[in-house]
Amino acid sequence: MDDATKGAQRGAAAILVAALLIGLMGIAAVALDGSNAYRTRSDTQRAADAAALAAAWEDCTGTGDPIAVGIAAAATNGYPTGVTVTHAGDDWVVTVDETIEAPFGRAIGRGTMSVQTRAVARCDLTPADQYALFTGGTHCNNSLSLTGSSSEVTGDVHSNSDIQISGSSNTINGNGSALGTAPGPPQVQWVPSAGNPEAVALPLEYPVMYAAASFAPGGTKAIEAGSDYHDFGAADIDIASLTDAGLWDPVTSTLATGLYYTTGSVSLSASSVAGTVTFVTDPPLGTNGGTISMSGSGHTLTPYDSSGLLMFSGHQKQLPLSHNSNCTSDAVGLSGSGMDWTGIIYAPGGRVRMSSASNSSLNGSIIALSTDLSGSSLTLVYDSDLGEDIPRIGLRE
Amino acid sequence: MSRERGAVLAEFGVVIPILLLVVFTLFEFGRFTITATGVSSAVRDATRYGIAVADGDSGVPRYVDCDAIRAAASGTSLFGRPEPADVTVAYDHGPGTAEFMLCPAGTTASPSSIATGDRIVVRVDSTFRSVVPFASFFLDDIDLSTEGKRTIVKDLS
Repeated sequence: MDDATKGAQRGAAAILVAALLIGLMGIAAVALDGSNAYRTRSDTQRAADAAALAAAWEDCTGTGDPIAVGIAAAATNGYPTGVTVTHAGDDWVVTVDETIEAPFGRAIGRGTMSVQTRAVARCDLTPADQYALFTGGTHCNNSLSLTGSSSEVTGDVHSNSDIQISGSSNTINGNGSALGTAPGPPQVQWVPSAGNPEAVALPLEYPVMYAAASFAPGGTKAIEAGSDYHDFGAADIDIASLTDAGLWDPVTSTLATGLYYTTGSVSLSASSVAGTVTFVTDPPLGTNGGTISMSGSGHTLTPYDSSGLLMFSGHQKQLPLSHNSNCTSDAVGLSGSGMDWTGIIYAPGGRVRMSSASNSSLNGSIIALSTDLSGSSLTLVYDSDLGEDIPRIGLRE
Repeated sequence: MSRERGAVLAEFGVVIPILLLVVFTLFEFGRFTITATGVSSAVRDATRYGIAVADGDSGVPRYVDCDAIRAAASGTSLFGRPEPADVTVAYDHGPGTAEFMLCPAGTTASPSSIATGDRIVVRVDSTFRSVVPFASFFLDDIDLSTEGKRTIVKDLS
């Protein structure tokens, strides 16, 4: 081989390398820019998901502008621009458009790539409390007991143990469920009758949960109530102590509006008691304290608390909660006739007992460890306006 | 001249194995990375598909549409995606609970046995096997199986 041919061969290699380089650049464009676009797509999808969920959540629970909140959520996740948030029906639709540089793609004539992603989310509000009557004690015998006659319950009924209904001419207009046994006619007429009541395998969670601490001095509910907050400390709330505190008008039998809190007990024995009130007792656990009892006739009580809570008894006679005597220890005892109560009666540590409460009505719910409703002609009607709504969010697309 | 050619050949003989070793090792590591990311995005995309509150193309809610969830795992991506047969779809009642039901391929799960708050569990079985003989010393039979779980919301009004 002479020098001339050698030089020509060297040139051929250069051409070969140049030709191969174009191919290599093409492969690099696909591999590097393609994987970058792929990564960007999953990043923008995450940002779009977060923005759509944030907007839906704000729509349900917040007071701000869901669109601004959605855009802020996308920005937090790395996409401050190219984000649109729109409201279509009940859905919040977010699109994230991102243009990315494609440095290798420039070699094959495509300097940028656009990545578009979309997410759709929605939020709905469901009443937390769906029950007229709910008893949570799994260890109680007949935790839900309705022993009177001619009583009518409108709304769903659940027991985490057995349902016992004696007497006659009782009607339940709603779905019943129990872990144990539940009777049918002639003791009680279930409407609808098909597949009702239903046996369930696992105990249900309480449909509402209130924390006594939020009603205690300094708690969120206490602060919210402002001057309507009436703290009795460890003193019992009765007509005498209410009179002393100037919260009872004996002429009209009216209670001052507001939230009443005590670590002692509540006992109202008078006729025609009226008021917009919420009673909360927060006694030491494992004692006889914290009971709420009402007697007389013709009471008309409506709830003060925004969630519809009328009475919350923290009474729990024994520790632990699963102690058998808690099932028959009355946290709330209501008697008398012609009573008209509205609201939620909550006693997770004891029994709600309505004895001889004839011709009385409760518009609301009883949520307790156990119940014993023995009055006749009792009307219990579930009210979906009471109780706090639970917001639920989900992606839809 | 011919002596020179022989020297080039000898050099070439030394360099080529090293070069091939480097190239194939790179190739295997690349393939490993693609497989690993492919499996994890398959799981992510399948759970993301399954928890969206909507009906799938077959007219049943997405969370019970066993085949559509598998299809979302196999996806539209280029490389590294699992075969539908390697995807297991199941349900549990939330963190710390056991799976209570499977969603086998070719079937539709029963919506009445799933409650809001239960989770969809997608598991992709994948084992990375080297295709280059010498790389199998350090990069073979690696279990890349991945599991993802997301909470189901049954319906939103």
